[in-house]
Amino acid sequence: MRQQVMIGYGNDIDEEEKSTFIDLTRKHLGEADIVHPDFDKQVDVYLTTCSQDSEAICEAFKKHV
Amino acid sequence: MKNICFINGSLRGKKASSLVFLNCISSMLAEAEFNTDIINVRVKAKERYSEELLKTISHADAIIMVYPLFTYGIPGSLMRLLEDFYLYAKGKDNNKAAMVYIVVNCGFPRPEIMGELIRVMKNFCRRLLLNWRFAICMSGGPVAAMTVKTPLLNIEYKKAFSAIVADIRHGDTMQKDDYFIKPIIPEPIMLWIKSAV
Ligand SMILES: Cc1cc2nc3c(=O)[nH]c(=O)nc-3n(C[C@H](O)[C@H](O)[C@H](O)COP(=O)(O)O)c2cc1C
Repeated sequence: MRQQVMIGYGNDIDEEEKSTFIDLTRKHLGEADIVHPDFDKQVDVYLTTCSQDSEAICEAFKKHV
Repeated sequence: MKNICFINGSLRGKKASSLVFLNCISSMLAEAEFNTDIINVRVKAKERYSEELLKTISHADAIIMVYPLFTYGIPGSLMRLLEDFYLYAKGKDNNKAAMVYIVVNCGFPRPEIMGELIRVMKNFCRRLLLNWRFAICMSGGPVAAMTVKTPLLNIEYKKAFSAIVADIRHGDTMQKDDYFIKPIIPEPIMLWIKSAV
């Protein structure tokens, strides 16, 4: 099964902007063709604001690789 | 005299439902009281929007953005204008804390789906210290555009649009609720029409 990973970025993003991005993308999975409709159950969404975040994201999706 | 800047975020030209709503609100603003500018987004925005145009937005006492919902968010062409405006206005300390309203229409039957879009716009306003006021979210766009022009059936729409005019006129500061307006055609019939075309 293929996993899609969506990653947003921005180094000056605050908590509300971060959760808006994640909610907007996650909430509408599949419904709005933001992701391919066939993959709507296999999408992870992350947002990185710095290199530590990016490392944590890599750790998080290592389980799928 | 207050400066009102309308931003038309639809690329559908004269066919746009957004234009119907924009014209309706504009017609409610008395000429003696308000100076109005209308900015239309461009199809291909390879070049930046001109400084003069961005200045018009930054001088506004109220910004009314009228646009369609695209993929639960802001259409790309409007996003481009907002990005240019952000770069222009960021860090300038003489920006006006303009009152900001959004008037959004979508194709789906439920206007509540625009919750995240409202959050995106609030985030944008917070970054530029603009004065977020409220949203008018209308589902069933083309039906809504027809209804707005139909006396007696258009009461809810007129009430919401008048709320913008009154809010600007009085310079209100109290936070107001957003408007979510469904078309007069019931949802099952809307869905049936959608599946039939
Ligand atoms: C690329 C694109 C994406 C759209 N995404 C959505 C959507 O996520 N939800 C929705 O209800 N309608 C969506 N629509 C439909 C438009 O919001 C709807 O047709 C609207 O009435 C167009 O308004 P306008 O005439 O002012 O441009 C989308 C339309 C296009 C072209």
